[in-house]
Amino acid sequence: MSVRPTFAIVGAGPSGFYSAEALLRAVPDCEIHIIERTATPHGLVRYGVAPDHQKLKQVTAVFDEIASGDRVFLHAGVDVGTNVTLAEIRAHCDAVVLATGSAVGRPVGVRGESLRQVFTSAAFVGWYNGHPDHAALAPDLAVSSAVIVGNGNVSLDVCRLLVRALDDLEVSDIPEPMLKEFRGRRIREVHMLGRGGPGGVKFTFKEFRQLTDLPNVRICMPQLGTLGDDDWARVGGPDAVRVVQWLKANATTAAGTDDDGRLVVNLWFNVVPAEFLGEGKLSAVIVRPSASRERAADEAAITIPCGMAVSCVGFSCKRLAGVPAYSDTGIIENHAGQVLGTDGRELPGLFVAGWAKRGPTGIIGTNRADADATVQSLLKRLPRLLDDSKSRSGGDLWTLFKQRGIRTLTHADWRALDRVEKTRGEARGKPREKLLSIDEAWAALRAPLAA
Amino acid sequence: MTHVVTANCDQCRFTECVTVCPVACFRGDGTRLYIEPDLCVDCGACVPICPVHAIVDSFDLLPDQEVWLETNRTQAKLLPNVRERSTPLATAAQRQAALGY
Repeated sequence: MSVRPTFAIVGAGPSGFYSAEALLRAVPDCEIHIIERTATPHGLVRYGVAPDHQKLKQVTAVFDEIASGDRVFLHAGVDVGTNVTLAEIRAHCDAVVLATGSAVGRPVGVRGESLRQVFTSAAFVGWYNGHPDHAALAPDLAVSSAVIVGNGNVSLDVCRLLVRALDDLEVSDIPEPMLKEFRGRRIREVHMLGRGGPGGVKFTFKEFRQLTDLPNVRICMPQLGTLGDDDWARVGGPDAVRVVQWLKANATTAAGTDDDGRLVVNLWFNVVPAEFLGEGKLSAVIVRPSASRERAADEAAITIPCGMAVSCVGFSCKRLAGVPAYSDTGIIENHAGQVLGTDGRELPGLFVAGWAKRGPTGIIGTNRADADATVQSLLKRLPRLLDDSKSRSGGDLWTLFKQRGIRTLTHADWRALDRVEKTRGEARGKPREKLLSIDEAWAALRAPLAA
Repeated sequence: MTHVVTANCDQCRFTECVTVCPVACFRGDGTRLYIEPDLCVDCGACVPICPVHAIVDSFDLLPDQEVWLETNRTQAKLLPNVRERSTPLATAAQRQAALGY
């Protein structure tokens, strides 16, 4: 039986779509199935990119264009590993690309992390972006002080969202139930804890500037008076150089008398959280000097009272049955995108792209080059895979999903949902009002507005 | 706000940038590339990957580079899309060295 080359991509985020784009270009007669766990495509662009970064979210137009090809089929609402196994998907295709990302927030690994009001960035960012996994998080923002652990762009996103004027948030795509919580915000100060010195920041200057530009925010460095030349000397990349320049010129200590009503963002350096304190609910974070500082031993621990904390210290992959090995850093073991077994041997026809392949680094565009590289690995092995697949069971994925009683949402369904969300948003002056669950999505498709 | 390709691309045309552009907003002819400002989403992925630091956030343009804003806009409208990496110009290595990168 001769069938056209058939590929499945698990995960409809950036690396999934860029894998599809590269495959479409390289294998003209192929058929591509993009399988997505949630009701909607776009992955981290929808659920990770900050809701006030709407320009960046315009990249979804490119994803929609890729998905609209007549050889690309979206199957949203299918959880590989739960509804169907990865082995079943593999049996129905010539090759599978895992583009499942790094959905699990990494814990700091200190005492008290399970207290209420202590969140990982995966949960907190997922919550304000309306991710179905985290929509019920219910953080209490009516607290006066918040701690953010980590010094990357995710930390800055979280920080900016916590302090940014409500007027700005009202016109973002933060879903209405979450926005309600932001309206009750009482935050006066945020503490960002950096493991390294000022020159060791991992965030970009561009992202930092968006925080410093907020008119209602003052950037403070409580340790300004105690930092020595050596603390300023170690500077990472070109972005850190500019951050350091900015801090030297502009940062003040928190103890200033010029309190003008602005919210305070305190940048702490050379510190790590030692413990989250509280009776059931967070009340303070104990902070100790990090090993990055030579005279660390002389310095005492500091207690920072706070009503919430978000740890932005990384992500790892959600484990998926059928993936044989994960590295210590939480990525799927692979060589240039070819998935490897525990013995280091290649798993025929199984590939990985994006964060699941290289870890949570880079920006959206990084995934385009990354997916291209994975597809190159796939193409090298494709003749043999097609040869091996001659004995493929022959059934198609539609039949498989139907047999399991899984109702999938197609790309046409997404187009309809997109219109619904935009229409709902328009009434509130927002780019969109997101549907928050697969049930809401189905309900919206049945409603007349979707027609 | 947008990003622009400045003078350093001349005689180089490394095209590393197009591999990471999430919205395929690079346009070009045989000599160099430009960014279509109406498509660029300001993600910045292309900035660090350019071997000769030719791409600049419009916010960071020096006064004598401002001219590139208009040049990118007008040229991008006229020229075809460049989506795939190609061989740099023969003069690229020499120019890169001359620029000090």
